[in-house]
Amino acid sequence: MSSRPRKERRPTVMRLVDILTCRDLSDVDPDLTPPSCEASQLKAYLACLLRAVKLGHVKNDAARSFVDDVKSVWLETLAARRVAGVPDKADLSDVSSEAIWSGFVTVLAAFSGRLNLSHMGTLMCEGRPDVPTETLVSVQDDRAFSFWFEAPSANDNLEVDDSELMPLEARLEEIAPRDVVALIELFGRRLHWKQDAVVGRPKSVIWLTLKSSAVGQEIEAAEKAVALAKKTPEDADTILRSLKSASEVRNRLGLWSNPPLRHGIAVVFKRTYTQFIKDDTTRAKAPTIFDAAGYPRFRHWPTPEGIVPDPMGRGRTYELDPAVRDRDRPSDGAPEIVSPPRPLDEVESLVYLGQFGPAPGSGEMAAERKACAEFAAAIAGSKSLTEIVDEISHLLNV
Amino acid sequence: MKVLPDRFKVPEPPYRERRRMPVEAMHHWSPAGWANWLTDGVRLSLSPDRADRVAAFAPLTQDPDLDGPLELWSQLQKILGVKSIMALEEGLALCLAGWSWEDGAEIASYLVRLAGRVGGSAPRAALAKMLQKPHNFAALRGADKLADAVAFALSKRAHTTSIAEMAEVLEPLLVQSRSAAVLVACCQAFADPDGFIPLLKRMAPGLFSLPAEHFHWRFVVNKLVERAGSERAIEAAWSKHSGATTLKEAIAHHRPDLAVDSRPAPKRDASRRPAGADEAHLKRVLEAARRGLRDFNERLDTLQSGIGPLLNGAPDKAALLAEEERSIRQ
Repeated sequence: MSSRPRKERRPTVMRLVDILTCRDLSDVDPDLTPPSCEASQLKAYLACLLRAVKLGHVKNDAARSFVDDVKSVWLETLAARRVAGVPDKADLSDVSSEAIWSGFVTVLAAFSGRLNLSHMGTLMCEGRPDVPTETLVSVQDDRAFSFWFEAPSANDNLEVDDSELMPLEARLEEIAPRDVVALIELFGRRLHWKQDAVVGRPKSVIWLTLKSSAVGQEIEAAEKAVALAKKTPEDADTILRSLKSASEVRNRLGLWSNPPLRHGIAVVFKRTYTQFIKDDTTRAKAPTIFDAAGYPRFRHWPTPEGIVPDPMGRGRTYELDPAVRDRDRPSDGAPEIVSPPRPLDEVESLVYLGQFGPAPGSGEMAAERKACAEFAAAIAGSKSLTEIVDEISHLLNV
Repeated sequence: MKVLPDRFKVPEPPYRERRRMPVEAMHHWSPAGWANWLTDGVRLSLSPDRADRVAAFAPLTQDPDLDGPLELWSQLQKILGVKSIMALEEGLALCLAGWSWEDGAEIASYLVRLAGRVGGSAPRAALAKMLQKPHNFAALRGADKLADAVAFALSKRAHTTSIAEMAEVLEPLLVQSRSAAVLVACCQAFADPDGFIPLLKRMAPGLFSLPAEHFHWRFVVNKLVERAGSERAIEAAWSKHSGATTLKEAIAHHRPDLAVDSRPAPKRDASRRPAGADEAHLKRVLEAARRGLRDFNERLDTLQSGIGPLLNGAPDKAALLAEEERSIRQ
């Protein structure tokens, strides 16, 4: 006798708390068994979202819409796996934290909340005596040159005006320090700039910090080293290769993902912080998770609860070096703001910072898990993932 | 019954969904599985739709607009074991070997740049096969990017002899990009500095009509010194081919630290050395050693006069000199 095939029952609705059914997201002691990096990042991002909603930096409607979109993606994941279950409950016990984080990031990357003024608090400077007067800086890597310089319009060996060609260094997959310095020099002469080129990517945001404190010192040191390399060409390669400013700046700014081998470039802008934020057309804002779009080391400032907020409403980066982080806690890192990409005309100068080394804690899987768990703990404070999820569920009714 | 909003009605998992979570399964993929994943991923990464680019190699790559083969490879290295890496390399080789010109140059460029990163030789063997397929590169869209990618892969991994063997196949592609032509010619200059200018003239003919101060010549000079070394760069500039003067001027202009004005020492050839040359050479060495020893002796005198009481039992200078002479003669 053949048995009648059982009708498949898929969950069709989901509450945010259902993600706690995922086996990888259970709250364990991170010192004993560090959770996966994805689980830690999800915890950190949800803590950031909760904090942003509580502080009014993100409107409830926007946050609710985002969580609904993410839930629908998680349901798609369940449907793809043909998971049977109770129709009114999503059982993610067979779904890894990696899948859950991936769905979260997919929605973040496409969410329209980015740069929407209604989603985040504005910056303040009126009537403040301590408004910084330093210029703004953004740290990029050598890949940006391919967006800044004009690409050849045709076969560059044939009858084409060479003055219109992109510098050859910008076409290389892997470039040497000397090449980067050459490109910076060409950039400074405003040669071969691509029309309408910007710092930062179109439809995204540019991350800006102040040319002050630790970051500024590193940039100045790098400027001196490059000047010395130009004066002593016989030692230029040695000087440029031993430049470590990129790694230091990366640590201060929490640039976890910048891959080793890439070269760091500080883009120094003409305008001061005050001039920049007073100009309404710049649409400068403090960053939220919607700007970070899943970047592995973003924190919404002030996070966690109990931390004194920035008096001017700016964000703050996460320091990657554990020794410096412990020393400077809780105000480790550097202030940061975001704005739409800036035209090249606003750039004062480019400074070569050297090659990025590996980020502290990166490389070995176990070390990375530990670093991710430390990051999540720094963001969420004493709160567990269960507590964070419960609070978001109650606040937003999701 | 309450009607569900549209977004909850998912009739079939979308393509993006199926691609989303490869990491769990990656450790068990066959080369064919890797080939499919790579080909699909590269296609998505080149899509104008940002959401497609996010999904391309998610969650391995972070930045859909900037991340390329380097970032993908560094992430894969972190999560894969030796066996999986080997399967990946074979999969990449399958992609390259099975690629046809109709697929366009952009996808191939990505795969070739990835082939330049991996350690195994299978992808580069497949690259050689790929290039042997006859095609009119001048009509291929994005041929310059493919040329750059091939030049990178060759300069990163291939031996100069294997590049020389492929010269006939490579040249039609490399002439599509001046940077690619320069890079490969500079790599070859390590083995044959004298052949550098003729090779560069064949692959980047327009270069020699530019003045030596042009920034393209700076690129040539920097890459030549970087890839072949300063001695071979100067040797190439002193070759007897037409165009050597431009190269010499370019080196003098862009790398003033290199003494390009002095002719490099002629190559030593033991078989052509005149009789007695070895003896004369040894005499010169011995004389230089004696001078060195005398200098040492003088410094020792100065030291002894300063800290004499501390140097009880200092070596006898004459004995030391005789000992050194004996050892040098031997």
